[in-house]
Amino acid sequence: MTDIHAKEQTNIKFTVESLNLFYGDFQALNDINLTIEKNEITALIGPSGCGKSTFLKTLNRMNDLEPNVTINGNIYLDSVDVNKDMDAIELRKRVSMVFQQPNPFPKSVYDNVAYGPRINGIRKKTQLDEIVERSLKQAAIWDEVKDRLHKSALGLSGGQQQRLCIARTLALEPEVILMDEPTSALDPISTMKIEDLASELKKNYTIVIVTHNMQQASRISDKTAFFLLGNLVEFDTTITLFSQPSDKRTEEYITGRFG
Amino acid sequence: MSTRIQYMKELEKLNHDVLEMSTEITEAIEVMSLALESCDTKLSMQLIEGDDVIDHMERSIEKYCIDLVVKEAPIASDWRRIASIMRIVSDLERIADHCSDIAGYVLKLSKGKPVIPPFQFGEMIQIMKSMVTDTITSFITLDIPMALDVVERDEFVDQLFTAAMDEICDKVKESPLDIDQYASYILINKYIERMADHAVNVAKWIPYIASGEYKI
Repeated sequence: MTDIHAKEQTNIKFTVESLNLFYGDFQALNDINLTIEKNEITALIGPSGCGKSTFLKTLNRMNDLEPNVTINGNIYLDSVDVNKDMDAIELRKRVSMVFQQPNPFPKSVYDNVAYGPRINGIRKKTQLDEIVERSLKQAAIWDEVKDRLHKSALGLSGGQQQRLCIARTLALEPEVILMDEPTSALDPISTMKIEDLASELKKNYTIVIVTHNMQQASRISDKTAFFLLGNLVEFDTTITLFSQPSDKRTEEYITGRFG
Repeated sequence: MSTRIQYMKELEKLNHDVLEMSTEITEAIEVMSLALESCDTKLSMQLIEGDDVIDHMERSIEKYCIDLVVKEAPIASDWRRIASIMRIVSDLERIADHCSDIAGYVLKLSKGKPVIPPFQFGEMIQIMKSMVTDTITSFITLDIPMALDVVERDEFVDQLFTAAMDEICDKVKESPLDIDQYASYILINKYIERMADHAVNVAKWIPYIASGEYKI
């Protein structure tokens, strides 16, 4: 058995080794090492500007779109180096992203979800219908939109739009879903729906979520990483990090001593 | 930059309230010890009447903890401290209750024929008192070795408890007509032993507050 096969049999989805990222001369990430396990929710926390969103973007190479970004170190997705041995489009099919502000296309609910599959060459209506229904059901929004599939997505509430965006992501059957503060623009009920959804989705997907909400991280994540000034200060099971943090800086941040 | 200034003040007040309650309790033990030694009815009445104040302190600290949990969603060391205090004040209150219980039996003893108490009581009370004060000190300083020492000292109190029981039984055999007086001493003996147990219960929370270590 080769090393690659040996790695595939583990539960590790991402392995990040000695990752450094620079915006021009400014070093935004400093020697990050961590592993992200399959079918788990990994939360990234830390004060604004600590590098957590920057780190999240490196996982599907969204930083490629930024000027003056230099990355060194290695990020392996199922033991393949995403920066050296993988096409960015292929990577983003497998590792998709949900953003802070819901960003549905100004199209119908149906067309939002069918957009990705259509681009990938699926034209058959029955097949698209099946994908749209399955994705909307997985995103726990089917019952709310099944009678208005052909109306504009922009008429949905913020929480519904965010779940629609998740459905749009699921239609492409990714392996990993990256969420960048997905509930910060939502009301508490919509937030709970997204959190329940994330907990449900982890059965089939790997989720990495950036959040400023400590309670959200402690409620839904299995592991939590605390970033500060571009450094990964502490990475542990969520229950340990929130009850017995080993680093004083983590303790001070999560208990609100600084921020 | 320091944040949550109001929250920090509230945590300080919580600590202060626990210390205030602890001071009342160590004073109650002192008064109980004097009342028992000299069969003093005035001091006993003072203890019984003062127990309501300590009960009120316990309820007020519990309510404060509940409010802090609801308002501030404490985590990490803050949560460990608040959760532990909710348990600790209940044990401290039981210690005060037992002082009042003993005072009740001192009043009963004062109405009957004077009978010498078991000689072990002096040493038992002294050790129990040191256990209560040390457990409170370890709560303030988060001194884990001191807390563990409190747990170990309970063994001496248990040994003295058994010896006192034997002594009381012997005395009852010698003077069966004094059974009422000795029955009171049997219960006082048990209360002193239970007070040491409550000090141990408090001491066992200290490692959890300090480091998060929780033994099942």
